[in-house]
Amino acid sequence: MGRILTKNRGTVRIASLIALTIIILTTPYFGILSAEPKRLEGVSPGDCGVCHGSEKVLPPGHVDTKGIAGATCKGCHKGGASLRRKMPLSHSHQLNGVTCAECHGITRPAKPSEEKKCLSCHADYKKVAIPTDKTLPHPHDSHMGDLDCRLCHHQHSRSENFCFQCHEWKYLVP
Amino acid sequence: MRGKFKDQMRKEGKSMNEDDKKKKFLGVSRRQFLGAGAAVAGGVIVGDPLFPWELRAIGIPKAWDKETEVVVVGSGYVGLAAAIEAHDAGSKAIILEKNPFLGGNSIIASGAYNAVDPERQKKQNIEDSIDLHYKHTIEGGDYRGDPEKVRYLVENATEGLKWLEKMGVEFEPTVYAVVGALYPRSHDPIKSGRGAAIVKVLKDQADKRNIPILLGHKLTGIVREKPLEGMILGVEVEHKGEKLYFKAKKAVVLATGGFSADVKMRSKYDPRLTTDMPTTNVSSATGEAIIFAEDEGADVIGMDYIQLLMACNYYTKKYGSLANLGIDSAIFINTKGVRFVAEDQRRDVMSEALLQQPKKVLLWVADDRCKKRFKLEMIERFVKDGLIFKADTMEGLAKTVQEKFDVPPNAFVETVRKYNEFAKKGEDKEFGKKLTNLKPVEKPPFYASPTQAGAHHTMGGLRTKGTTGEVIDRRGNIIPHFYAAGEVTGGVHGTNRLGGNGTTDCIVFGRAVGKNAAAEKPWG
Repeated sequence: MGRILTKNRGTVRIASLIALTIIILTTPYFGILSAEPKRLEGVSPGDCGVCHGSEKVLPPGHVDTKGIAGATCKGCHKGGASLRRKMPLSHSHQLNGVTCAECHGITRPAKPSEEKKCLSCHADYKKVAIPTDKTLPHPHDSHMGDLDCRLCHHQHSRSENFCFQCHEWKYLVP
Repeated sequence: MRGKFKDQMRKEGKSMNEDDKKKKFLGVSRRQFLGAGAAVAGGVIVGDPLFPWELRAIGIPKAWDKETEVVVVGSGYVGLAAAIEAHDAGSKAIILEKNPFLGGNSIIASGAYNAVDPERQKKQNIEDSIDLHYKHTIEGGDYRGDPEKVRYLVENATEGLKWLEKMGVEFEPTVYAVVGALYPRSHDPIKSGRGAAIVKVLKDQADKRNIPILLGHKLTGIVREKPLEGMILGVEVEHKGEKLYFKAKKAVVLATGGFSADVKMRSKYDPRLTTDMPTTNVSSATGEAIIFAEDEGADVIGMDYIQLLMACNYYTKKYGSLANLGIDSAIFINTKGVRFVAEDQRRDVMSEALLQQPKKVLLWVADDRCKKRFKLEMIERFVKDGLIFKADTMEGLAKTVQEKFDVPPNAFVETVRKYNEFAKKGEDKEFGKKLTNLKPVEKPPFYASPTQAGAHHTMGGLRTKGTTGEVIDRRGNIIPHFYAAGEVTGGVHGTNRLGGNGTTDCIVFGRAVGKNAAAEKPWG
């Protein structure tokens, strides 16, 4: 009995190590950790429950969003009820037809996104800067030049305010 | 699977044993070396697989991932200038930048550039000469500067200014003395961002020449032919978690800036510079490139000389958020309401004096004239954010600083009155501020920026040959195909850098190393 245990210990150790490695390597792309919701492709974007499970991500009384696309959301969510900053940008993209594959390619494991992907739809920096022309100091026209969009506009986590590292300007970054 | 694992162990065990045998005559085993080596210089000592008894900081890669002629590390003033000049001299260059954005400190700098300027200075009735610039620089650095380098700096300063103008940088039509310049020969870029305006122009020029600027590529080592011997072959960088090797067929140019934000390194040379001391620099201004160069035998000089500058806002503890960087229509008042140093003194003199003041705070008092240097809306923004104070009368300003810093208002007002009287009479009886800088502060509105000293510029660094910028080793020999320029080097500014000489240093020596690197014969 003792001998068998000793013999198997090495195997169990290696197996655990390999399993752990797989988990660690795939986590960045597929959020297996229980703290984050699942990140599943090919799911209807309005079908919150598939990834979020029983977690209440919609306010009580909200219409059933299953099968809804971005254009329908905007029917109610305009002006002061805008969905801006209410959910990760990946969701906004998905709801408007921009799937995971658009930025991460179709091979798996997924490729990291590239900045030029953002600009391929969002035209150029100057154009993107127009809505913030009245926001001073201008977040898109600064001494830092044309920063990589993703430094502020995170897709899979809350967006950040790059300028805040040195300045006290509390921009509300979508 | 278990069998496979055992085979692997056996294979490794076998080679380790062979190396151990070879090690015997040195009396130490490879394992012992590796164990000790890992703790050295924050880097890893590796054994060369071909010559396991030769320990080196970075092994020569089996294959290079990318190759070019001139590898430039750093994308500030120096990196951009060097790459542009290397390109214009006919060589292929690549810029490697560790941050996900370029520019380092250069993109937050005020961009003041010192140079003798016959046209501008004549119009302002300022007498100047290259000899005078030399004198100020060498004296201002307490004669620790390398005379050959200082000569080269001042003799090429004007040409460097013209080169920047040719590249597209517009400078103000008048010169002035930026804080710590000691003489009115500083040129401010006009466009917003100042230093950032220079970076933008140079970046556009680099883009025009299709010089790749690879962001997110962090230097992790410098590859040399043999440990402490032979030529520099290229660099090792880390990109997205992977190690990449860039072959530099002509030269590696280090343009990595200083280490004012590197608490571990700066406090080694000046124990006061712990985490409690703020810095004006970007947080990535660290000295790892200096260590990597030292690993390959490079010498360093002047590392003890670290300049503090009174330009950190009291609230943000960062550079900027000041109403003024000029020292003529400006008064430095402490929280007791009195002056404590001449405002046109050397930077180190003023900062050291500031460290002796209560709360280590000074109120940089200025008047409406400060609008000349900073956009009014920026100043208004700082006032709105509560970072600086504004009032229409000096009494009003005194009240505010009393609220914020317990400054005795009567003393404050009296100090300003006395200063303005000195200005009128043409003599600063208290601190000897020079007549040319003794301008009154009397045109409302008035501003007070609460300012502290912060680690600003590291005068020391890699030792390079006089005017060529070639890196020198500890025995005084040139390390072939290895250049450095700008704040990463030592020997230009001695113990204290003059305000405005930093930008000049970067452009003059950055251009020089770019040209010289391009002139090297490629080795492979």
